[in-house]
Amino acid sequence: MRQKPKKTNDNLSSLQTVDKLIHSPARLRIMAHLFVVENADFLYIMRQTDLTFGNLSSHLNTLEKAAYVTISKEFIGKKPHTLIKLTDKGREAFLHYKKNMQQFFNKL
Amino acid sequence: MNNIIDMKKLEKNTFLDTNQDGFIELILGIFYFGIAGYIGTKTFPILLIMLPIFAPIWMKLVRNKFTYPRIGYATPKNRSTKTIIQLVFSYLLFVICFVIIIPLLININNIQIWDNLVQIMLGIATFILFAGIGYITTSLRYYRLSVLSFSCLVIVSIVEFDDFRNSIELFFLLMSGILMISGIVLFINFIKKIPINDMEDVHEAETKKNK
Repeated sequence: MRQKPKKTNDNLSSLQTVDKLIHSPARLRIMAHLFVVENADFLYIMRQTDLTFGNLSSHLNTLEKAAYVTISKEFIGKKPHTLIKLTDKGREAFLHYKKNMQQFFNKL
Repeated sequence: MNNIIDMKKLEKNTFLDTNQDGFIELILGIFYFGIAGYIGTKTFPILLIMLPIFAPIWMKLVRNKFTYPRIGYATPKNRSTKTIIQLVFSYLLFVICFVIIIPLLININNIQIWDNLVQIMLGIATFILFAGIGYITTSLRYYRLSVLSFSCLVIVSIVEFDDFRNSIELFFLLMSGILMISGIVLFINFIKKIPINDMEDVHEAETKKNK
């Protein structure tokens, strides 16, 4: 006889819908810092999140692939300047993540 | 969640971090100096007073050179930053109206009440401005400035002048001195503390080399 699947604990059920893309600590920090501004450049996010250049690039690429952020490159004088902006989809995803986590902690 | 990531604290930190170069103090200092000069000479170039009004333009040029290569750039979005900007600009307009436009429109010498009101009004408005910014950002730096502006008001009230305009001039000169000195000190500390970060340039150059 097939075993019945165990019922998920109510406390943990809200965690099932948590966006794993945002749940990573580094990406969560990036998203949170972008959430409180209109846009920010690469250096600003790097300083705020304490991530290394390569690490931040990699996480931003992941977020860009998910269409959570847009990355645009421009030149100010002769210097390269990377501008990062949270998209509407990213903003919504972050709010949804926040709500889910809030629900989870409220139940604890 | 708010315990894990305090969004309000993050907003406040964003404002304080992007304004740690002392430019807010410098702009207000220049503005006060212009007002004091205008009251004292009446021929003082009005452009100096108008300089802070066009601050977003010249400030961006200066910050492009000194601030952004060190700490990066972020466009404010949050309510508190907008409130602070609105508060500062409303205050600048209030002072311009109070000190320049109203006396031009009315015959100031016939209005005795002006004599008593002007110092108190300007002192209170300056106190509220800095206390307001301090309250929004929870930064001690602005609370100190609000206390200093109140002290300037007290000093100006104690000293006796033949013409009340001299007392206003002294108030603006004192405030301008305090603000400009604190702005310059903050700017020098900022330049010394945070070196230019050219990581992005280096990375771009390396990428081009590899191609």
